[in-house]
Amino acid sequence: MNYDFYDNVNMMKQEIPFNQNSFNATDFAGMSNNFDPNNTTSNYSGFNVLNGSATFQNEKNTLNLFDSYEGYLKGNAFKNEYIPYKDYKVAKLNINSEKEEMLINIGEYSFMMHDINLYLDVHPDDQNALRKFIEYRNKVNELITNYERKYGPIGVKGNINNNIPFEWENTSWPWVK
Amino acid sequence: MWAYEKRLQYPINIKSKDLRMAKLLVTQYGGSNGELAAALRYLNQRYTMPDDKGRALLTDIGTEELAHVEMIGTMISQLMANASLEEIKRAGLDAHYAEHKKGLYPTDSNGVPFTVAYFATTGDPIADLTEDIAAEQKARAVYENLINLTNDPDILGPLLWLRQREVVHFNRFNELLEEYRKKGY
Repeated sequence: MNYDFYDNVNMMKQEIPFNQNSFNATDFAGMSNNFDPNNTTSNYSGFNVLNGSATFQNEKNTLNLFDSYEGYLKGNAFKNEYIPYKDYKVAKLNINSEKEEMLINIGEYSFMMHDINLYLDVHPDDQNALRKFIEYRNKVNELITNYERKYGPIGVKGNINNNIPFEWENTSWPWVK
Repeated sequence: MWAYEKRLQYPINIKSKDLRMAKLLVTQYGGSNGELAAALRYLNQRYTMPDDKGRALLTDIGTEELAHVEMIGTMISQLMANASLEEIKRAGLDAHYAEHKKGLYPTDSNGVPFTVAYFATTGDPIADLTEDIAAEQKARAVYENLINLTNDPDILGPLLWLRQREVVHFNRFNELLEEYRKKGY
């Protein structure tokens, strides 16, 4: 696994060599970041400093999610909240094995589930967000089951085989390369 | 109750040893605006949140911060992997080595040890959330400082990603604070 950086969004769309099901062209075509550094009323957070009151983009817009892979790479599930730093490009992940790919897929869907979870904590009545949360959660559960069958447990309550040595212990620890 | 998942929230694979960056990065491990301070700040403050929205949000963001502690720890350990004693001395990490060998120890980039004095718990939800909002901005600023100090893509990728998480957390805390203000908590 190593990093490279996307020069533009189209590159990102073309160069993802795996998980073709997880994105579609229309999501990327609509991808934009509404942040305008010259517009002081829609600055960093949607927090309107000038009149001393907070207005939030989420109150004005319906849930506007990135495609899951794009959201994961950017670290932000929400199109209208994404704020890049300077002109740094989004890092892309170059995957070297099926195991890595499966872990990235778990990361991707878990990430979307989690970011929508945080949103739902504050907006528990958003039916659309809840629908997306459940959709991603189901996908995560499916991916974890598939991974654990092949590569061992992600969680200690997951699929651990009956053989010694104890599989939880002797499958890879995430900080060890 | 917590359950560990045997995976990083975002992948880390640092190939080049860089003791200078390890020394700087540690501030997001044990510095005043670091991930450990963030996790403990939120997980402590949640007990006096006035409703379920606050309890949920502080629990869930606090939990995510623990995953970020793990990411930073992973980065530092990989940056220091295979460093010789000579390289450790040259990088000015010999003082660290004297106490901790190659062990991780939560300090800021100046070596000041972690302290819970880095965060407050006033029991007042408006005051605590206002602190949390400031903490997210300070952590974002520190990530930007660290990004400015390296050009290794293996370090930049995770730092840019972690920086973006501060942006999202900031927005959620802001939304909750605004609601709490309206409710007069």
